[in-house]
Amino acid sequence: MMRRLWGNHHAVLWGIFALALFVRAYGLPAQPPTDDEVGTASAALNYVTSGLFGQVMWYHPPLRNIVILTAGKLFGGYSAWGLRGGSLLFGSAAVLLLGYLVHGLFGKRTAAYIAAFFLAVDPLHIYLSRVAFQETTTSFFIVAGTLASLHAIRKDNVLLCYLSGALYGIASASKWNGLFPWAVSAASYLLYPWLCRDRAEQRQPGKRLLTAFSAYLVVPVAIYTALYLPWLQRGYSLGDFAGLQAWLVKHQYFWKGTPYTEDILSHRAYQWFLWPVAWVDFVFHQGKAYLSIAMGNLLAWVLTLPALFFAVREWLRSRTFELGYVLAIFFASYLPLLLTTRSIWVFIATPLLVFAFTLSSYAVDALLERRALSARTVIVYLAFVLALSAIMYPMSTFQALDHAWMKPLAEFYTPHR
Amino acid sequence: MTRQTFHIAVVIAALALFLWMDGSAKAARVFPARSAQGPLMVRVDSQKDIYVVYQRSGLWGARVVHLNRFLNLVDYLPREENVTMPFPVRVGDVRPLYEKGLDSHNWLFIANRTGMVRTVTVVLPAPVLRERLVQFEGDFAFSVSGEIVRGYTHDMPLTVTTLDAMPAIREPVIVNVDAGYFGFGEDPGRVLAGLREKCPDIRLIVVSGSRDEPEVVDGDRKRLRQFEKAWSSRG
Repeated sequence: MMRRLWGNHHAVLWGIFALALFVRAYGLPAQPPTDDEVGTASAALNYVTSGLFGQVMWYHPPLRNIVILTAGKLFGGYSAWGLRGGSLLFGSAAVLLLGYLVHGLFGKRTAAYIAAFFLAVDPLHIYLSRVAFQETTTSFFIVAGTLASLHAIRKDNVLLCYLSGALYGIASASKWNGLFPWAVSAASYLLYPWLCRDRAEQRQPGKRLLTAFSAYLVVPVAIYTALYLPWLQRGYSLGDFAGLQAWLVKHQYFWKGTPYTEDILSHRAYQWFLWPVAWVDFVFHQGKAYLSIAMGNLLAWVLTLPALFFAVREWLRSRTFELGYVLAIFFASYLPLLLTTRSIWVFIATPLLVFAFTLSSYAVDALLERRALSARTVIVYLAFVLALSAIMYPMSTFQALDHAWMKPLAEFYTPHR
Repeated sequence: MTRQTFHIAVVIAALALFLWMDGSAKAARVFPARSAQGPLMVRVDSQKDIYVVYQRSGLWGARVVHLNRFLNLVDYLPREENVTMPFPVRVGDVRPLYEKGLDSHNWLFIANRTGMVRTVTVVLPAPVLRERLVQFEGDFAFSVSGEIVRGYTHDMPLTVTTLDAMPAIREPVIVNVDAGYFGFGEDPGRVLAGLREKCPDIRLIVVSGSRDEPEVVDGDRKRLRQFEKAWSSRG
């Protein structure tokens, strides 16, 4: 029975999705809305009704406003579910889609399960799925766009190309992290017949260029622009819109956070896969202090760099398209964050994290197949990952001050030290 | 339908969408209609009263040319918009919150936040602009080219310049002339001629005596009255 279940990747991935949804939804109404979350609710209403950007991260593209307003309408107001419904559903669904993406890429069930499991129990991703921000929405649409793109490229399916372009357009309208996998996927579609020798019959540069132009450029740009329609309705022309985008690039590049986030929190992307890095949030609500110290699961995150090394080595040997595609997306997503001089906090990691977990799960699965790792070792390791996430769960869900054993960590991140 | 035809149809549809978005955005702008008698001139006592004139005129997405020694663009972001509260979170139109904080230094910024103004060209007296250029040069939000400063405050594009350097604006504009503009020897007749040349389609002109501004003196207000008189007599 268990063996049969294990062999049905749909059943297992949906099971992991159920776990992801449960840990993200558990006790959600007890987690008070932060000042910024209230600001996002206000921004959502005012953006859609009068095109006004709110005060909270107004410089990011406006999809968050539409997601929050829609979730609020669906859940009958800004209860915890209405306010955070979008983050919660997209965050949980990203777990499922990541499993399908890894399965689609490598055709390996175990790799798909491990990647989905890593994301399902990741404390940082859990935190971000329980707050009304755009991070989990962005990574959901990135994974969805990449999944569509993978099948579009393999099958040379035009409709899937359009679907992928549309999903990347939506991802980028949530946060610009969507731009990097979008660019890699467009380039991969263009070059695929030249990268794969057995696809020589598809080498029709004119036709491919037209498809890529229409599906990977025109459609996503149109969707991205259309999501700014409420702002445009303030009287701004498309020329003004182009000017705004140029200004936002400059604004993002020179962005500085609050003194606390600049001086006390770690804010360099190279640190993420080497040691624990936290994003800290605080709210004083109805006479009680709530603190969240959200970190990735270090046991899962530290696999990234060795897995990257392993995957690069494997790709140099095999030159398989799928592995090269994931590596290209990983590098294209990570390098800008590594090289920028502005601060990059760990909550920005989720669009990269999905590809980090893809590589880690690929490496673990490959080593299992080669018997370099035993199944027992992997099971014990995954049990430790789960245990660590369970220990970190209160930290990610604004309960860091409710447990005495977390006091040293809370003191470490106090703004008063 | 071949693949190529389908792609071309998609590109044409997207182009139509872009044209529609641009057209409908421009059509959303609201400003007073052009009148054969020339633009309506309204006189107010304080800078922030101009906001009320805008409200009564029903402006939306207007382009403003603002002559003053001040930018009147001090940021004002109401704190009440971002304050934790118990579930269910209740939010509403934030424009009244902005208007609650209206004063003579931020009214133009607030007029942008409430949607009445989409962009501003601030015309400063030449000595004031020269004095402030260093500040603009040191701020990444602005780029300076001669006596023309272009930049943003939040999402609002703005230009800061002098009347001589201001490029002509070939679209309907709302003009504010503040007494504070005349504190640096500006000649009312020259200002009038400059405005007529650079802004051929003025729909509303608001003159402010800035009585709530200690830096503005009676001599400045006298020159403002000369400007008003000259404007009225030339029709």
